[in-house]
Amino acid sequence: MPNSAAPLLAVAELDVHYGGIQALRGVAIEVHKGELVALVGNNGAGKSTLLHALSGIVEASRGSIRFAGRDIAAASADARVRMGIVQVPEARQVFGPLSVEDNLRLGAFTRHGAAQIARDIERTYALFPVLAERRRQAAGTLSGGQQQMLAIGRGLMADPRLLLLDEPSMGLAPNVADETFEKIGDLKGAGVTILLVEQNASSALYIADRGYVLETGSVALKGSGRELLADEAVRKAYLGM
Amino acid sequence: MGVEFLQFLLSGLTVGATYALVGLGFWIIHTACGVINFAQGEFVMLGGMATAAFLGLGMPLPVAIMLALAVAVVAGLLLERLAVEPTRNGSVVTLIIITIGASIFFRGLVQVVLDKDFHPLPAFSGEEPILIGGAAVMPQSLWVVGATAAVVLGLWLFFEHSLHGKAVRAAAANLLAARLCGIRVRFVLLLSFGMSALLGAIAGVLIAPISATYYEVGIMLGLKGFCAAMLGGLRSGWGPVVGGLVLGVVEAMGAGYLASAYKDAVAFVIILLVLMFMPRGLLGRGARSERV
Ligand SMILES: Nc1ncnc2c1ncn2[C@@H]1O[C@H](COP(=O)(O)OP(=O)(O)OP(=O)(O)O)[C@@H](O)[C@H]1O
Ligand SMILES: [Mg+2]
Repeated sequence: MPNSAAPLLAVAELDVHYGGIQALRGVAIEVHKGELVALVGNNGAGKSTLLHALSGIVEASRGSIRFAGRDIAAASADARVRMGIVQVPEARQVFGPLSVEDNLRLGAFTRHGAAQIARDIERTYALFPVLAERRRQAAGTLSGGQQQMLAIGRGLMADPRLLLLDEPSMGLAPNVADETFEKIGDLKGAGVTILLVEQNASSALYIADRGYVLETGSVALKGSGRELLADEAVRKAYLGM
Repeated sequence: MGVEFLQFLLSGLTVGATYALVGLGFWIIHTACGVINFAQGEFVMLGGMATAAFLGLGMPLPVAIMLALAVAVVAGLLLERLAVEPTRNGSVVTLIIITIGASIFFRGLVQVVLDKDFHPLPAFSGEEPILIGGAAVMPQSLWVVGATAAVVLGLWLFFEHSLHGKAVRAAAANLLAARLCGIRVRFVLLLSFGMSALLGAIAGVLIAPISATYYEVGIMLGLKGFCAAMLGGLRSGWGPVVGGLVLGVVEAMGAGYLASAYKDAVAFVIILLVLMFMPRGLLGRGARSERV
């Protein structure tokens, strides 16, 4: 189904270096509109680096990134947010001293139209009711799970065409992590296109349409979520089975 | 409360208000990029000296002041673009050294382009003292205190209630997350250098009718503003305000009851005491801002 149209995101032959260290080599991935694609891999595999390259935080040394048919390699980080590539970074990274509501409002920093933004803030509260109760509270005083909801909510406020989620379950208690995956499933149901990075491979592949396995900077395996869950090598390496 | 005490208090608050403005300039840039801008005092000097120069060209005082403030803001923006921005990946120490270099440059430039003379500016609304509780207050003092209060209110509105002000605070709290919200680092830096230059220049214009301006006036006022910021702490904008007013009053009391020769020493003693006993200042505790 998804492969019929041109992909929303197409990454080809992507290399990224940090000084002399090569973090990504020849990475190629695609994400189609409406898909939930999981990117799994061990510590240091280069998952966050790939998201940072997509967000324009780190520069690619080779390869191409096409979004909605345009080569965006030269676009600045803020231009990419404007295009609709929005990242929720790992470890949540909310603006601790600012209120919950200010965090959400800043998520829409690049957008215009106060009325629509105000409606979207209310929609975010409807999605995450716990945030509504704490809208005036400093974000830094929220629990880990609540901060994760806030970080995702802040990302949604940018009105993403492609939402990049970096390890949203990291550091959360198992039941809170499950709730987070449930919310991510809801977002997909609502039509948001998502690239989900996870070390928690089974939960991510379980809700994903397709997945990629990243190993030391390159794509080692790809397939549907179900195929990867059933794959012997994946089960050994990432699911501990 | 004796009239003498009241007199010292009022003159201390007047001078303290200008220290607060200079201290707020330190605070804004420190919040945005973790750097102490040692060129801060030169914005004070530029504000006063440029006003004097424009007056010398025959412009009316309000016009001269507006142009002088604009000159200082442009100087602040240029400092950011030409000196700070290109070395953004340098260490904080590198940046601090750059600001020291810039301050020497600004002093040299003014000395060459303008002159080395003292320029007293005319008071904004006359020299007729007003009596408050028996103490004589110059109308200029009211200008200083009133304008400072207006600036503090404006800053509070900006940082607490405007989207761009919140964006600056967001960048200070978490740079990566701010960039991922589409906030431009360069915008944050330019804004903070521009604002901080404006605050310094306002202080320079306000105080020049009381204590004259010349090309080196920024050295001492910059130090006093730095002391105000250290004393009050850089954690919130209230730190430099409280620090500035306390410093001004302590100085005035010291000069009035002890000896005026010690007036400037007060600031140095306070800096030493703060560094030794409460490195985060009166209002400080915890939390450090991140580098932009
Ligand atoms: N800023 C940096 N400077 C130098 N090397 C870096 C930097 N960031 C990441 N690396 C290196 O690049 C490689 C990939 O890191 P990356 O953070 O992308 O991995 P990851 O898959 O996200 O890991 P994790 O699961 O721990 O988040 C690692 O070897 C890491 O040490
Ligand atoms: Mg990572």
